[in-house]
Amino acid sequence: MPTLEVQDLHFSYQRQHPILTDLNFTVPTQSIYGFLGRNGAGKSTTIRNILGLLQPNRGSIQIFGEDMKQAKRPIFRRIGALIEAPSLYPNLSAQDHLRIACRYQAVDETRIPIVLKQVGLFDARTKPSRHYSTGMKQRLGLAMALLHEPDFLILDEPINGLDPQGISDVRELLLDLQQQGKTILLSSHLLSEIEKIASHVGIIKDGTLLFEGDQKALQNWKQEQQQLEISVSNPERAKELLPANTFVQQDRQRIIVQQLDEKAVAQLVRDLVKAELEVYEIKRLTSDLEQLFMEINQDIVS
Amino acid sequence: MRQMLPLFRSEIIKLKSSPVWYILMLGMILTATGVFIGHLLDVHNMVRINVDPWERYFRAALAIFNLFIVVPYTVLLVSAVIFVEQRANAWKYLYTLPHSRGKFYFTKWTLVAFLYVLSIFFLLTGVVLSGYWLDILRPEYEFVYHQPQFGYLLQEMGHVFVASLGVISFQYWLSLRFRNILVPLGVGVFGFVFGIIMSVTGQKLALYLPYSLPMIVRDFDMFRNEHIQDSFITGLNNVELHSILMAALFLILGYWQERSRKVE
Repeated sequence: MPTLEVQDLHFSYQRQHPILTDLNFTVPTQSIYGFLGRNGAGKSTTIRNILGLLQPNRGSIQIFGEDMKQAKRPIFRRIGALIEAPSLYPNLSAQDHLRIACRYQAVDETRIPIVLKQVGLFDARTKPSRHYSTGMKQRLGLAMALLHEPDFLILDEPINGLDPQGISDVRELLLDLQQQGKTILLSSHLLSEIEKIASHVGIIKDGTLLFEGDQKALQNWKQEQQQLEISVSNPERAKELLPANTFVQQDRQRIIVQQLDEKAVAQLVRDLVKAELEVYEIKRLTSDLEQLFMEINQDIVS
Repeated sequence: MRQMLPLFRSEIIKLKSSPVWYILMLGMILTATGVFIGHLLDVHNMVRINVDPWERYFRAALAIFNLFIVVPYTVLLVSAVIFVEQRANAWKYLYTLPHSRGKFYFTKWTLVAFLYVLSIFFLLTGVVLSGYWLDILRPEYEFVYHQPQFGYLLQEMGHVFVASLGVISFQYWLSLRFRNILVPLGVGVFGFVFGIIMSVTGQKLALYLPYSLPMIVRDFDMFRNEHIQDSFITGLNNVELHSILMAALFLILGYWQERSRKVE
């Protein structure tokens, strides 16, 4: 049984402008599911729908095999969530925040120093959170999510504002939690981070899931998506010279073929020239996924 | 109710080093200072032979509190309590905890009511202390030869509290409805001014305006609204009954709104 199953999720603030369109994805138990997409792709909206902060227009959300609408309270007991910037009271210290969280979650206060050490905030535990850096605030949010030892962690951009050491620490912590049997849904726009940590990946763009699968499936899919574009003087003749089952489509003088290895490309060029065709251009096409990755990387750079 | 106790304790922790405590003290200080200065400066008109000075002193304090303090104080208090959550953007955290939204909603309202009651005790203490201090400066009042009538003051404050439930709930709803603190504060200031005008001119409308209710629930020899009637069945007057009805109305309205609110 998967920990989370989202089916046909549809959400919009205004009827004409859907934010999420028939979104389907599954988070397997004990996985780290990287929920990847550029800013504004719909990651946070999806997470808010999952957690009941927003009401979906249609679709179903099952967590631990139970319908979220029917069994919200028992499900929330087993979930720890951090949604974007953590909700912190500037006048309170990390210790105060966790004391409050202990009361909300009916957890013994002996857990407080344990989670503070886990996220590396023990030494700053009495300092008011208004004096915390962005990274420290993020760690405190993580501590609040971990306090009641949830089975399922939902973390929306948890490494935002962390320095490289902080990112590495959080990565280690999440991998450790996975080893302990926890399931983690981790949203991020950082492809490199997701690749380092996630066992499963879902890629969202404009409110629709582009890809879902494990790391291996992701690599295969990337390969499948790669294509070549060849511009020649006589495309009809060129199509006859292509290796078997590689033709995809034709647009005037351009033909699109499946990605070929280097030797096959060299052989194809030789065949085209031998057939007295003029070869104007051969280029690799970027797939939707790669395009998306580039956009994501551009986000990071900017 | 028992389930709400841990939530209530959490609410108290949240108020640590928050401006709410200053607001609580403010109501007491303004009232005690007002009645103290009035009695200090106008000693010849205030002193009565063979009359309990505490009774007059308390009535003057209540008159100041009811007319000038209680409404702006309530507006400030409710806005400050809700602002604690708004500033932390805490709703997205609270509403993913294993408690219903209603539990948070009613716990917070209970906190406001609790702080209001607490402020009554602060007020009581402040007024009594200022009375003894006044006695040092103006011994002719003879405060030390009489016992303060705490029972009387508590009873009167009880009426004010019941008459304030309407404005508490209205401001509570407003503060949750509009996430910008300026909206409930602005409406509160306008309501206070309008409420005073309706109250001092004895308008019937004052009986239906949440801001006027605490001002007119007791007259304290200042102005009398002829539309106020006591109910022999409930032991409350129509001002208090209106306040309770308004409190129920806005509490339900706020709850309904909060239950279905989108947390962005």
